[in-house]
Amino acid sequence: MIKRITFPKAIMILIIGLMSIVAVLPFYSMMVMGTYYINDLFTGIKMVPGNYVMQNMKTLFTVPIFTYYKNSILAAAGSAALCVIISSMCGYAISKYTFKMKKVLFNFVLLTLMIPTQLGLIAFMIEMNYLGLMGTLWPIILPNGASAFGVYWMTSYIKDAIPDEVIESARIDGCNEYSVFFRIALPFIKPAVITLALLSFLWSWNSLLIPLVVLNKESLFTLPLGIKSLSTGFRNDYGAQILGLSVGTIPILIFFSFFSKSLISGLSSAAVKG
Amino acid sequence: MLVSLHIYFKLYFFENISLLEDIRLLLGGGVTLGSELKKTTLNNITVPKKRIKLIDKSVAPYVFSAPFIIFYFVFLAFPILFTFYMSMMNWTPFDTPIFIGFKNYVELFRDARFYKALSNAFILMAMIIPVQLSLGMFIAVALSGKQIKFKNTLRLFNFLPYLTTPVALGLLFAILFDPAFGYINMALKMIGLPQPDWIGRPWAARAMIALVTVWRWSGYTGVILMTGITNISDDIYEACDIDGAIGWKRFFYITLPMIRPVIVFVALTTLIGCFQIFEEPLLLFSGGGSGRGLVGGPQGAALTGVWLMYDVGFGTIMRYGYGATICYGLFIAIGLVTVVFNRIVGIGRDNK
Repeated sequence: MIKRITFPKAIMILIIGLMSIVAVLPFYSMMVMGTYYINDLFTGIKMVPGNYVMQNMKTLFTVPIFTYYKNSILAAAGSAALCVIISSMCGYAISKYTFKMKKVLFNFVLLTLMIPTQLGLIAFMIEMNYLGLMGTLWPIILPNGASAFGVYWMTSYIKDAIPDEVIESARIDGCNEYSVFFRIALPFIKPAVITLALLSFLWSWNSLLIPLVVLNKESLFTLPLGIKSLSTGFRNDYGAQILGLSVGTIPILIFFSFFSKSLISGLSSAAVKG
Repeated sequence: MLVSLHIYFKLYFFENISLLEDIRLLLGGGVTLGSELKKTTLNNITVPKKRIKLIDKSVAPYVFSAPFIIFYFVFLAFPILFTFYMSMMNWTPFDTPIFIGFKNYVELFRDARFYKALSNAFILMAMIIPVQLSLGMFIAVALSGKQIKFKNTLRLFNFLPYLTTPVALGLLFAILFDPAFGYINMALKMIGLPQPDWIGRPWAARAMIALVTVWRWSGYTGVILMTGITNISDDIYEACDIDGAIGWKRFFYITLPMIRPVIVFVALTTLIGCFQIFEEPLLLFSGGGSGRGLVGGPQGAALTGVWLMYDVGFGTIMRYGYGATICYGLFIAIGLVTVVFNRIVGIGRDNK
């Protein structure tokens, strides 16, 4: 049988190609627009880069964009670490032990997957204020320790990834319960740990609502808040504004692109299994 | 009384160690509940029971799951419960909170902005879900075939919008959709189509938000549905080939029913998401272009539930108590939508 491209298939390839172009075109025009002087920007659609990028850079770096980056990295890395440790421990308990509260705990996790957590926002702000955590990055790190998705994902992964025999033999060899987890179990679930860490990093990196409410000074701003303040800071300088968008998003997009496969597998696990 | 309690405890602990015991021992105690409990009587010979320690197998799962439970209650469950308490108060940042009972809820039932936010959510659902699901389905089917070149690159391209910070997208589209100098209207002018006033007209504003949302989430929907499709075993498709089910037939009779749970999941998350759209409209109407500082967009056409909550709590009004009431209003609305959706989907399943 000779393999050839049929007519419907050609149409399909054409449409998917078109859709992909639509998906990346805004990013391209974002990068291009950042290289123009404001007055030249709106004379027509620009498809090739201009030569005003250095001047726009100069305007842009009047805002502390590296501080935003530093805060975002701190918050996202902290969230990822916290989420991974707490979720993997809880997932390990649910999938590898039999105890009285096991069923209750797992149903609780499933239930909390459905609850939209933003709705506690106002009380959360009051609570953080009461605990004296306002004015630090803690309010945007700590809630990520309670990730129902993380527990769910770890539970279903650990169930198949670690053979019970391995745990049993480690026990016989004299490991206590905790060193079994840290020395034997964790190395087994490395791929899941990496995926969950990336997802948690991504969500923390992109979140706006909680930082908007709890971070009250500019020295604490994360990147999304910094980007939001660009719109008021450079009210009339669209060139610098758009360059700021590129500077704020492109590096992290490249970083995430390398791991897109593992991010996708993590995201779809909840849909496919659940 | 004390004796009966004592017997109860004895019976309870005789069989296996309960949670209470674990907690007591975790707290480093073992003295408070009476030390004779630690002995079990067997044929009149008192055998000292093994002392339970933190490293025991029966205690370990509680230790492992405790951090999650503690974090959940402190940072998520407590705020949600406290929100209910706040919703009964007249609470502003400026004076002491006063308990006012259900007055806030009465106000909520008469609040035109709340109904506006709810109806906007339903309008957005109707605009977004069919388009997003069909585009996502197209991406999934097109890119799950084995023959297509650059499959991974195309998949990544479509997935990029999901990875990007929503705020940045909001600001970018605020500039691209600007009625006067945005590229989108320039492009529409070039090909001779009408150029809507995206920022100023209610329906154009809704269409803009729907477009941005669909653009951002279609690729995500696509890759999730794709995982569902690739999970279908090859044997089934081989059987189809033999039976002559190809092309459209194969899609409608095999692929679609097989990935039904995944479609339901995506539809439900999108449904709930429509109440929570926040970053994009916030930036579209108060960000870059010419529509600055307009809460809710033209005639409130772009006001969403979470935006209303933010505006009442922290934006132009600063009423924490009433903001908390809006939270619970939304909570109930989302709950109802979920239940109704599950009902409809459930009935569909029964019929099969």
